[in-house]
Amino acid sequence: MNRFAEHTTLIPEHDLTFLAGTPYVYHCHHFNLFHDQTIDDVMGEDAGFAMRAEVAAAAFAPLLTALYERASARTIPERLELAQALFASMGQGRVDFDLSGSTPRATSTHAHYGFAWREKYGSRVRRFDPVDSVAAGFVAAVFETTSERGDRFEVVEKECIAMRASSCVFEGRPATRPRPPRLPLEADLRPFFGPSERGVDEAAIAEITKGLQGFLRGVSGDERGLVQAFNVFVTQHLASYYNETGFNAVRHAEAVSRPSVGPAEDLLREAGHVCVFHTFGNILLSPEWEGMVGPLGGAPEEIVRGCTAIARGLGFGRWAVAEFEKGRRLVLRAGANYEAAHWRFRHGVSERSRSYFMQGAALAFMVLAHRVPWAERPQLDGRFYDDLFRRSGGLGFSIDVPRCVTRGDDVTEVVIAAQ
Amino acid sequence: MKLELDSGCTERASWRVELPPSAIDAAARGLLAAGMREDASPPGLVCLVDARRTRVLLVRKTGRCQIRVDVDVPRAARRHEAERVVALILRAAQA
Repeated sequence: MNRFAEHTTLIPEHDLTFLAGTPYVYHCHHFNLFHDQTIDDVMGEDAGFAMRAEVAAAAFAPLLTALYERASARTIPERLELAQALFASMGQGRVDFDLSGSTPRATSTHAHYGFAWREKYGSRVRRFDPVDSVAAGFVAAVFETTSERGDRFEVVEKECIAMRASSCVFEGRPATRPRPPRLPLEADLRPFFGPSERGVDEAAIAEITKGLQGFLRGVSGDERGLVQAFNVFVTQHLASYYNETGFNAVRHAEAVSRPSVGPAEDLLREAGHVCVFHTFGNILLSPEWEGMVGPLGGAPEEIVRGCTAIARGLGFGRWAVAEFEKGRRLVLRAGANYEAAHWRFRHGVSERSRSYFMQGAALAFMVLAHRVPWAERPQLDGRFYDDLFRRSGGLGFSIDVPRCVTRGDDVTEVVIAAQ
Repeated sequence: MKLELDSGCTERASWRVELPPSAIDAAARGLLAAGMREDASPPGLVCLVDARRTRVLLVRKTGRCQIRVDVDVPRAARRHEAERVVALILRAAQA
């Protein structure tokens, strides 16, 4: 049972989810590691880590404050216990705090990013930099919200399990950088939601979505703070973290290096490929899916239907299949996705679409629908990913975004067409 | 009954065997008797977990049985752990 389930809300007409008013989604470790690596590729490792940790702190602090209030957690031990339970429940790893010395510290043996990085790359790659910026930001938020004077902290990760340490070690020091901008909560995002979309196969998609949402509501981290469900290593994560860090990286490129803007945007789109391939693909092949929906046949229509339901179930928004023509064309439409309203709140109307994730995910729907031999029960590993998405000669599909909420339209429409 | 690598997000952690769908309930009962406990699962599925955090997911309709070895088990030992649990499943299904 998830202790925090009572604090989650769903906007059913948009399939967007909130925890005590804070927007959240589910993503797996492949996406999480790729997203953070993208930030570092654009900004550099040190600046990337610092920005990511700062954004994570800004995202977690209001959530913690809201939950303390709801739980009437007033003393420091009560707040630390709640914070620890929250992070573990989200699949982000159990963190232990030590506020007894002059330097506040925290440790974790299963911080999600470090643990996942070690699991994915550790046997092949030696890492020399810490990876847990989300945990560092969370710890900074905990230090701030348990400080009697409300002091702000910056937290450094001194040791990291991705660097073969036995546990991640975090230390706090007084913050020197200015407080980052406030990140949007549910009420801030609502003005930017368009109409609730309905599309092809709507009844079937809605039914699967309902089952996924019901199951995920009860999913919670184990005593280590890990969640393994649907064949994937999943985290409940704050949408503002992905949005703010991703958009900051692109805006950084726009400010300092125009030639790197295109590659940065491409990487954010590719994060959509990574997510759909690993997370959606493994969900489709999971026993949970087989039990809930039935065995996977692998017809393109079935894959598009399943992927659309998964996107909704994970809290990405009411994506609807406006058109689907096998082998040729897919049009996804959403009045609200988890990226667009964030951009509008923070940056206003953009001259071009900023729904990067939805673009990349839509293209990956088509690749999974047409190029994966589902009946053979393939291993969705790195080699197969490269075969599908990094092959020479391109992906064979184009992306067009004729309408986007970030451009001021009422819906986002992504058109994938065979080239 | 052949143990095969199953799809999964973590390397060599998910394994599968096929049971006759009619044997699912017997397998679940046997695994519970062997000390596993039932965990939350979506409709159509039985999910059991043991003290080593190895999970067994049984699909009622199809007889698919996934053994999901915990990620704290070293990669090289994951197949061995799956084989240990499959032996339990076999005994349970045949009882």
